[in-house]
Amino acid sequence: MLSLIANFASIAGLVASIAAWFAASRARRAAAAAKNAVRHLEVAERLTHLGTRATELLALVEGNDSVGASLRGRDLTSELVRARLRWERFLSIESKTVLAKAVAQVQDISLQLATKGIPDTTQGKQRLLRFCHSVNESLNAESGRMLAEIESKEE
Amino acid sequence: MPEPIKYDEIIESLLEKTDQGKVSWSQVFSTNSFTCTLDGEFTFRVDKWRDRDEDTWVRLSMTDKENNEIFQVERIESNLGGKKLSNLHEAARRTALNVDEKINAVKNILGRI
Repeated sequence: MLSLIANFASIAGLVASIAAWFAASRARRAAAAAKNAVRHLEVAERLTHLGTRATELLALVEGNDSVGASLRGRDLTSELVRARLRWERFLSIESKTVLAKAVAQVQDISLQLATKGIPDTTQGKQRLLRFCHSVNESLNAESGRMLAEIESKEE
Repeated sequence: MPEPIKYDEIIESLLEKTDQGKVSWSQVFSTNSFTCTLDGEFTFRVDKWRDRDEDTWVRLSMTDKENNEIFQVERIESNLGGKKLSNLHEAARRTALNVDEKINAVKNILGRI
């Protein structure tokens, strides 16, 4: 009788261990998914911040501050490169491409501002503003896209 | 001595892939300058300008994800090798500005009026 109880207890123990192992695996997967979501959220927030920096660049150009705009452009270029390298693992090829294009654009704008200043013709300034806007839009669109992706995964 | 970089192979491949619509170029603020990024890793930039002697120059440069310049090649358009670079610039311009699409749209409008 005692051996029967012992057998039953060991089978119950085995079942409980398997159940615990499954629960632990599920918890580990959930924790990894949550961590991943937090990282993506951080990337999206970082992109939003870069979008804000791009807005500041735009404002400096609008205010005809060529020195300030050039410096902001240079800083923004470095921040974009840093963000690209820091968050590389969490970025899709599309996101990396958006950042790389933004780097190329901001670097060009910054260099032009440093060497030639703000264009003195209305047409030239409009063109410059248009390109500053495009950087701003692409960064904001990318952060919006990432946030939407996180939200859709949460639902 | 290190082997020279085979720019021509890169130029030809870029031109071929651009013609096939597999590489997407976009315009940068500087006039006549276009850029493309491959797999989010490598960025190419092609520029065209005229110097004081009225020579037209074309330049192709490549940077990596850390924004380091990997190479830069510039040639006079009319010189040996310059034609290939010029063709790449024209292909990039057409893609970035959707030239073919716009020309077709204009043709349609002109056909209608």
